Amino acid sequence: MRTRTFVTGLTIATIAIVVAERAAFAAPPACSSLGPTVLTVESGDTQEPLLKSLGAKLVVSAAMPITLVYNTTGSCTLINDMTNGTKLAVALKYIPLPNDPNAVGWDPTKPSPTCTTDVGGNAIDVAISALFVASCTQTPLPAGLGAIEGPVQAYTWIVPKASAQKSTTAEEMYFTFGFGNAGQVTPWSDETFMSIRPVTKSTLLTLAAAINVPAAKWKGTPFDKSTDLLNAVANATSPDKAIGILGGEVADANRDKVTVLAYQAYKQKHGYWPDSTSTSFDKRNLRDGHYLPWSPTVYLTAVDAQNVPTNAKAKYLIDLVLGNPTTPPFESEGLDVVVAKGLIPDCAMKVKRTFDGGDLSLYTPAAACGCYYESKVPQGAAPAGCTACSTTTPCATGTCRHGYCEVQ
Amino acid sequence: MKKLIALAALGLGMGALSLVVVACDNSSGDTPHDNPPPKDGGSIGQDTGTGGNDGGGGTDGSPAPDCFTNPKTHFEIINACTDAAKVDKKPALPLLQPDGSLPPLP
Repeated sequence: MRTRTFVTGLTIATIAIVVAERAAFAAPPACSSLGPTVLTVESGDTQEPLLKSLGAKLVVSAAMPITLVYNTTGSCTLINDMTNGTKLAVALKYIPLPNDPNAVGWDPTKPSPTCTTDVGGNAIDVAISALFVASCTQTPLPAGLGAIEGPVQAYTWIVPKASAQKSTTAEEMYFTFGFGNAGQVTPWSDETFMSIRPVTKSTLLTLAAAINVPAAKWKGTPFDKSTDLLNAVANATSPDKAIGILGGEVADANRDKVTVLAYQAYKQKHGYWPDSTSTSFDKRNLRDGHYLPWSPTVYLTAVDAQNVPTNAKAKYLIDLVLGNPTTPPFESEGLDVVVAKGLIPDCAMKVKRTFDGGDLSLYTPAAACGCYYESKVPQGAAPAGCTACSTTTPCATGTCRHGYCEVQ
Repeated sequence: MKKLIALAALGLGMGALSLVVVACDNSSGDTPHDNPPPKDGGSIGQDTGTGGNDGGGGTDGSPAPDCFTNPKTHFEIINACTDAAKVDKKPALPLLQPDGSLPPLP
């Protein structure tokens, strides 16, 4: 009897200790306690996979350790926050060190742990929009705040894998999302099967600009999270009636669930996928101007008179995603992460535009990386004509960059 | 004589073949064409495509070109010749205006 009482008491004590320890671990740390390496970012949710993967490398970097503390929200919201100097007063996410007791076993596929903001909120160092600032506000940026164009984001029309639909046109999308039930578009004439994003989100705003349907006039059910929209479309009870909009990187990662439609823009003679075929990942049509729904990501941060970021950590992060040389050199290739997350580096683009939905013009990047880019995409290989190079195997022509002889 | 006929047939055959090679895709209907991607890295201006014209079509009464081999303007860029897969879809849109323009949004 005495032994049973002792064992029961020991068990209760053990459980109490474990519960107490878990409670202690569950209490999020103060963001400011994460140290001098903190860089506070507010970003569109389409960019979170990039922040998590690049952040995991940065937090353990010996060259330039950076702890990303971030909040995800709509692009227009973060542009407004950055231009108005709004401080973040919500629980923020952060990229933990490997030994962080609050995030045991964390990796970029898992939700990031959270930290608490200071009284009065935390200032934003970098805001990452996934569309042009002008799509949200016509007010010029305040002095000292710069907008640096980063990797390009594709936007797509998606249908369930079970749908028979393979393509669409701008006119068809005008009637589908601009008129809804009254649009008389077959098979997309039931608003309950049309999935859209809120009006502050880059996905909606960029596609709105592409088809000339103002964001506020779109018909359909808005989803705050890309993943929720993906599931709604993928699991629609009437697959042929269902259609939605999604960032290209999310669509690419879920091609087993949804089909990306080929798209024929206004004034275009044929429809094209973002990639050169429906099954490839090379974004060749987007990069050369045949696929039009895309926007650059835009990094907003404090800059000097030459538009160079004044925050050293912000500059380092931006240089990494742009593929610029970094000082000190980073331990790995920043562009690898950009490409792996479905974004298109600016250096792989051959066209540009100056506002969402705007006309395209030819573009030659200062330091092209097309060979490298196509070698890194899923199922990718450097195109014929691209020659591998290294410090010991220099280029006969062109410049050795990211392992390939690039023409420019 | 037989030699002459054979030469004429060969010439006709080659002519027909070259017509097929230089023609841009004119297919219609919702038909995907999965062609192999270009082999030059896909750079604009070097697009060997499948032929096409260099813009300016239609101004002298000739038909507008289907694609452009040396695109410069927005219209030419989005309609540049390419070996990429393409789809031609002609959806039925009952609400289009009689002149083919879009009506105002509700």
